[in-house]
Amino acid sequence: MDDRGQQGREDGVSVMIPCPHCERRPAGEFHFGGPLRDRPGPEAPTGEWIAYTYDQPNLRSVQWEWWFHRAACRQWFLVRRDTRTNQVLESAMPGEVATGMPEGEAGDE
Amino acid sequence: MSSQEGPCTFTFDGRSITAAPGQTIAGALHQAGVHVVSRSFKYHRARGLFCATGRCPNCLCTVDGDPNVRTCVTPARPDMAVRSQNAWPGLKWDVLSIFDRLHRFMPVGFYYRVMHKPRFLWPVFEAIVRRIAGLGRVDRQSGGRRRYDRQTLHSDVVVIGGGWAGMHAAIEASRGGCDVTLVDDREELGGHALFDPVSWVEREPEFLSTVQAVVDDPRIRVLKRATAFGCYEDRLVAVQAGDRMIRLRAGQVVVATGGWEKPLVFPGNDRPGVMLASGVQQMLWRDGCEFPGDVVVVTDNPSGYHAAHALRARGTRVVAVVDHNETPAADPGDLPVRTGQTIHSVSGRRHVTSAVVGPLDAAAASSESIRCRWVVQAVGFTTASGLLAQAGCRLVHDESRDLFRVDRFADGFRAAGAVNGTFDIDACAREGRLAGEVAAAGEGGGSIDITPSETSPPVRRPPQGKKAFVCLCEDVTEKDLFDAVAEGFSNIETLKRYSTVCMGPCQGKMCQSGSIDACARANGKTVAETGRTTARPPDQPVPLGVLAGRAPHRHLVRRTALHDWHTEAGAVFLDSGAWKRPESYGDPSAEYQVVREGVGLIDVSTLGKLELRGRDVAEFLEFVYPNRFAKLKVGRVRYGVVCDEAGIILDDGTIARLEEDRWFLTTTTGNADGVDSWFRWWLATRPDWDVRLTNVSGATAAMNLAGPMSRQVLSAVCDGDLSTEAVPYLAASQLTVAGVPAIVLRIGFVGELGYEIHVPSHLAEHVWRELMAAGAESGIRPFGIEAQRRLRLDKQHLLAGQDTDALSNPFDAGLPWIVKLDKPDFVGRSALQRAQGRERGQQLVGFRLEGDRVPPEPSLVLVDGRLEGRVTSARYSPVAGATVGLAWVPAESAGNGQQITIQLDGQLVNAVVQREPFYDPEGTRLKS
Ligand code: FES
Ligand SMILES: [Zn+2]
Repeated sequence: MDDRGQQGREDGVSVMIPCPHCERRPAGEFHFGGPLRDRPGPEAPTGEWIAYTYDQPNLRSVQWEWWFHRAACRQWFLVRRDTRTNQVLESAMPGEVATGMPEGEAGDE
Repeated sequence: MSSQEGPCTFTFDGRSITAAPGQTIAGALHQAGVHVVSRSFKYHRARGLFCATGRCPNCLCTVDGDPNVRTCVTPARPDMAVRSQNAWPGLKWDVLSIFDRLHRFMPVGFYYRVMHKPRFLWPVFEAIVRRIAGLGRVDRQSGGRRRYDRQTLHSDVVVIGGGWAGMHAAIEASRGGCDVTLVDDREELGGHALFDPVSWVEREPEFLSTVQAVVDDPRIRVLKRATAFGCYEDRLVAVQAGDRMIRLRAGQVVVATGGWEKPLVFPGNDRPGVMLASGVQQMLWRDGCEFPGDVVVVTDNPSGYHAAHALRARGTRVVAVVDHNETPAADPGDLPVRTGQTIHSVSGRRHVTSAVVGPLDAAAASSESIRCRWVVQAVGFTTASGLLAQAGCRLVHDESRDLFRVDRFADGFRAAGAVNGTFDIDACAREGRLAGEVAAAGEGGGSIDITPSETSPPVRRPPQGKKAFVCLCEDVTEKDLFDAVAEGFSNIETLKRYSTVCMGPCQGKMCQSGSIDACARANGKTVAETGRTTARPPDQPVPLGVLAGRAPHRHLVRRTALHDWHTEAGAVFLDSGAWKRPESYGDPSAEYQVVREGVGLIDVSTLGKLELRGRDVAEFLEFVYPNRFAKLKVGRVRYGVVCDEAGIILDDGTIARLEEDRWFLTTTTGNADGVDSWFRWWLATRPDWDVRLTNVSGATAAMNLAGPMSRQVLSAVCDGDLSTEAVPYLAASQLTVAGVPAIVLRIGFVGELGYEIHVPSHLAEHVWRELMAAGAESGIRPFGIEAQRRLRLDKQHLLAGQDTDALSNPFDAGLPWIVKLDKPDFVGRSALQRAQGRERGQQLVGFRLEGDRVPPEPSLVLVDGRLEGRVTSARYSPVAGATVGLAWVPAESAGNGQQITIQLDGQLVNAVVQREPFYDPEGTRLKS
């Protein structure tokens, strides 16, 4: 969540992210927020909470994920991206995407 | 030709060398008779100019302190100091060339395998390896002189390569209405055409008018001496232009990077005097060099004949043109041609003295040794397709032309010219125009059919001998590769990693085709089956400074609305993130004292400030903070700690309820943006919440009026009742201060009666001046963050990020009361519930150290000689009469009154844990 250290990011990633408010901008202006996941309920078993808190799924698939346009509109939104090719397919406003589950199964291109 | 007027002199290893106008360093050295310019990486063999086109490792020198300069493409400048590399003690008597004779003891992977073994000796070996296997040396003195910079450019169409095909692509794309950027790494546009004038004699007017058309076109921006070294996602082309790094974002990309002449592999092929024809041509035409003596030209295409003619015109005696073909590849005139033959080896240590030529089949007995000084090879090109591969284009092996080329383009990409395996002048122009047209239409990408070449495929020369270098950079021989394959490194990728072939400065430009070829033969496979290694940036060598850049925008500086006042008052500034904050106004001790005894004023505008409105703010805050807010009364403020799902403290601050549905939050300076985005994320996950968050950090300035006399001072400029009954400790009031509407929070970070006053930024200086004027009688002083840090330490108030880290939860940080696990759900609840049940690890505690020695942060806390904790903050405290601080210590040592040991200046000193504030433990002064 810390924005410090984010300033150098523009050199690391060259992909363009379609912000629903500002249109296509270089990824360096954004902050990656991880894949869209369902937060366990308060009564969920401890194991589920531990997995949610500490395990990053890091899947080879098409997934919806959070992006934050930190250098401009400062809004969070969702991007559908293929983690195998890094291709950004579309973006959506929060609430427009129902499920947190990745679409495709992992597999080679 | 460069614009330089007369000859100039520079030094090479101390020797004075004269360069003709426009000559490169290497050209001048060649003319001066310096034919050994470097020593090879592993065996320290003598190496001379080889490619003369900036693609191989041979001419790398240190120029004015910059290591690894390609002298064959670097113009000579007056008074340059050029030094050879890799030679110790000197080029001529390189004692390390003994390695050359120990060759059989130094197989591939030698340094790795042998020198790693006796572990205890590795440091010794490492020092030696560093000395002998290095690639030049960084001059620490000169490093800081250079200024690197960066730039961002956009273009509809980017054409990489300013040769015949590239120029035509640029013209056509411009004609299609696009803004075009043409990137070329040479001094002049024209590519290979510049260096093979023989083939261009009838086309000179056409050539000149094409160059002119590019230069005159207002829509074409030409970047000369600019190297495209990377293609990244969404068509970001990385370009180095001198000391500048250009991030070039392209709508469409046309790659017209041409090719690199590929060397033959035969014993002695690395000896000075063996060269590539394109390089020889460049040196003839660009540098005006001569090649005195006899030359043997090996070729399978017309360019070898062109080179032979050109050399002869310059006075070299052509003793043989060895043509792989059965019939000459071009009109031989009266050149002494030997068809159906090739070169088998050369002799000579510091320079070629003779060459053995004979039938392609090496076994034939009829080979013949020819005395010569030069061996020039012109046996075709490797496509310069690295950028295309990086971009995600698919490269396949075109058997009919024996080269790799693209059959499926990445989105937005096209290629034209030699990089496609097209060498015919007219075909290059056609391809260029077509690529430009496609790019202008925005239609780059897709698959193309590869039509086999009509001419017969180039004649393959069987492998020769053992000390035949495939890789000049890393001294990898053909035999090394065969051995490595036999050891099991048969895949081209593992072969590369093990043998380090293609991993040197040329990055495969010289050795890729040879290594793939060797790998294919060693495995009994075809080149197509063998494939190629993954292409990664940089495609061309780039100085690290260019990548680091100056990036002016990174040195963002933020100043508060009161900055000018601080400057006038003589503030000593401290960088706090991007902020400039007064550390003190010259005397932090006096500033400390005045707050304890009278009244002080500090600028705290750098705090993050968030305003939240809406019906569900209370519910939201209950969720993102571990403590309770639903029942916080209007007009009250409460301390809060933000935790993540792992229960780790992210930040702390205050939460004020100004109205039923209007709240005002502060964050620490460093985390202002982070908390803002953190809260926004939780809000985004729950669109049903009625919460509107406005970040007012910049719009609002803040100052803290603190000290026992602060009420009196504030009263003078504030009309409301400030009595403790009306404005008690932890009140959040909306008052008018110096005529300005203000949010006034009665909190006491420094441990005294105090008011944090938030006002609109543009009125901050007015309010500040009024407060200073009102406090003049009471002896008010501004205080800086050094005094503030001392003051808060007396109270053991932690600074999130200073005293906490990525493992700190509220239980361990001494804030267990803040966690309300009986709330049904909040961020971090699950982790904190687990943490509560767990045995305590390290605890953050206050400590008192007698005397005035202050342990620097982070001094170590030792238990029985073991590292068990650290000091996060420490200062001398006048009120405690001792040094006080905060430290992480093991739970067993965390009890009040327990002794801990701190390492201070190499000594161990004892301190005592104190679990209550060093000053006013009851908080009566705060609440007064
Ligand atoms: S001779 Fe200069 S790079 Fe090859
Ligand atoms: Zn945006």
